[in-house]
Amino acid sequence: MTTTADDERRVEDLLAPLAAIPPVTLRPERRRAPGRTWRPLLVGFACLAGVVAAGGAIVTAGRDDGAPRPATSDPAPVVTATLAETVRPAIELTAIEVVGPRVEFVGNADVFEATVQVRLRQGGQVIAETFVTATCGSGCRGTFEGSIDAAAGVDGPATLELFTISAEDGAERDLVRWDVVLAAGGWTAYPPSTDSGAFYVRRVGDLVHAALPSCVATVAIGDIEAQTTVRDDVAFVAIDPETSDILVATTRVGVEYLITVGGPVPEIAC
Amino acid sequence: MIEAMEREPTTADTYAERLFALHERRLGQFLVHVVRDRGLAEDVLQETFLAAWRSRDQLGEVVNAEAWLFGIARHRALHALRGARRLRLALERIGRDERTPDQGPGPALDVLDLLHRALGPEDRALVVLRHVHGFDAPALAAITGRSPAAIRKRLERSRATLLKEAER
Repeated sequence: MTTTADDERRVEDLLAPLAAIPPVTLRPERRRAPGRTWRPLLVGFACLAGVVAAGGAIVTAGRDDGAPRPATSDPAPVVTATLAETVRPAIELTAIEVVGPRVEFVGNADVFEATVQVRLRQGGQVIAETFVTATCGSGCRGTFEGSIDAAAGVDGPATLELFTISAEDGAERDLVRWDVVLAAGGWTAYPPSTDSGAFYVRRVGDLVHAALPSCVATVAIGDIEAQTTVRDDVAFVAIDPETSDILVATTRVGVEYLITVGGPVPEIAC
Repeated sequence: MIEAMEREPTTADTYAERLFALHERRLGQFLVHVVRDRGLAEDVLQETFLAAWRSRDQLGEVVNAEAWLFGIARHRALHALRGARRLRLALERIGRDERTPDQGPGPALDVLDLLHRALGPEDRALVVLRHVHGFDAPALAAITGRSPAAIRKRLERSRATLLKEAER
C-alpha cells in the first residue's frame, strides 16, 4: 500500500534525470520586443554620432541612490535591436544586480570561443576577476550569466568590466563597463551564523535588498509594496519604517516570513 | 531625434523583459519536456516571450509572476502540440519528418520517452510543473485555471499512470 507522499517521491526520483536535458533558449534575433525595432541605418547613424559626440570615450556614471547604471548606454534590449544590423557590440549586458559585495549579471555575446572576461575595478585597481562562457561563440551569439564577488569588507563605488582577449595579439577588446555600488560593509547577514540560508539586508530608504536562496518574493507592509520575481537568490523585500520589521514573502510556496531586525530569525526556506 | 523614432522602455517593459530573461532557461527546459521537439519548443518559447510582452501591463496585478509566465508557456505549448500533431500526421503522409532530434544523456531521454508514452500533453505539463519545477497545487491552480483540489486529484491519477507505465 503506497501513499500519495510515496508516489510523489517516486515520481520525483523517476523524473530527476530530466534536469540533464538542455533547455532551448531564444536566439537574440528572436528576442526583439514588438515596437522596439529601430530603423537600422538611421539609428546606426545616431549611435555613431553619439560616440563621436562623446569623443569616442566610454562615459561612466552612477545614480545617487546607489543603483547600478550602465557605463556605456542602457543595455536593455533596445540597444540589441538598435545595433543588430549595424554595429552591434560583441558583448551586451541585459541585466545586472548588486547583492551586497556580489555583482550578478546576464547578457549575450558573440566572442572568440564564447569566453567573456569579467572583472571588478575600484579606484583603478582590479579587485576581482573571473570569466563566463556564453552558450555560443566564434561567429554566433550566445547568452551568458554569472556573478563576481568582491572580497569581504570591500564596499563603495566600483566598475564592472566585461571584455574579451584577442586571439591575435592578446589585447583586451570589446570592453563594456557598468558602474555599481558594492555594499559589503553596510550589509548584515541573517541568520548571522549560518552559511546556507543566509541573506543580506541593508536599509535603503524604505526598501531593503536581500539575497535569498531561490525565492520569489512579493512584499507589502502598509503602503510599502514591492514585488519581483527573481533568479536564484535575489529578492527585494520591504522594511517597516516604524518598527523596522522586514517582510519577505515567497508567493511560490505561499508562505510569508516576518523577520524582525535584531529579534529572533525564523527559518528561511523557499 | 531618437525619441521621435522610438519610445524609451518603460518600467513595465523592463520588468517584462527581465522577468523573461530570468526564467528563460527554466521555461526552455519545461517546454522541451512537454513538447519534446526542440524546434517547436523554441517557437513556443518565443511565442511565450511575445505573449508576456503584450500582456506586460497586467504584471502589476499578478500575484505570482513566475506562475503567470509558466501559465502562458503551458497554454502555448498545449496549443502548439495540437497543431504539431496535425502537421506531423501530414508530414508522415508525405514521408517527411521535420522534428529536430532529441538532445541529452540516454537516461534522461528514456525518462522523456516514458513521460510522453504514459501521459497526454495536459497531464504531462502538470506533472513536470509539479515534480520538476516545484510548483505547488495553488500555483498550479493559478497556472491552469482549475481548483487546487482538482489539480491534486489529477496529479494523483497522473502519478499512478506514470509509475504503472514505468514498471511495465
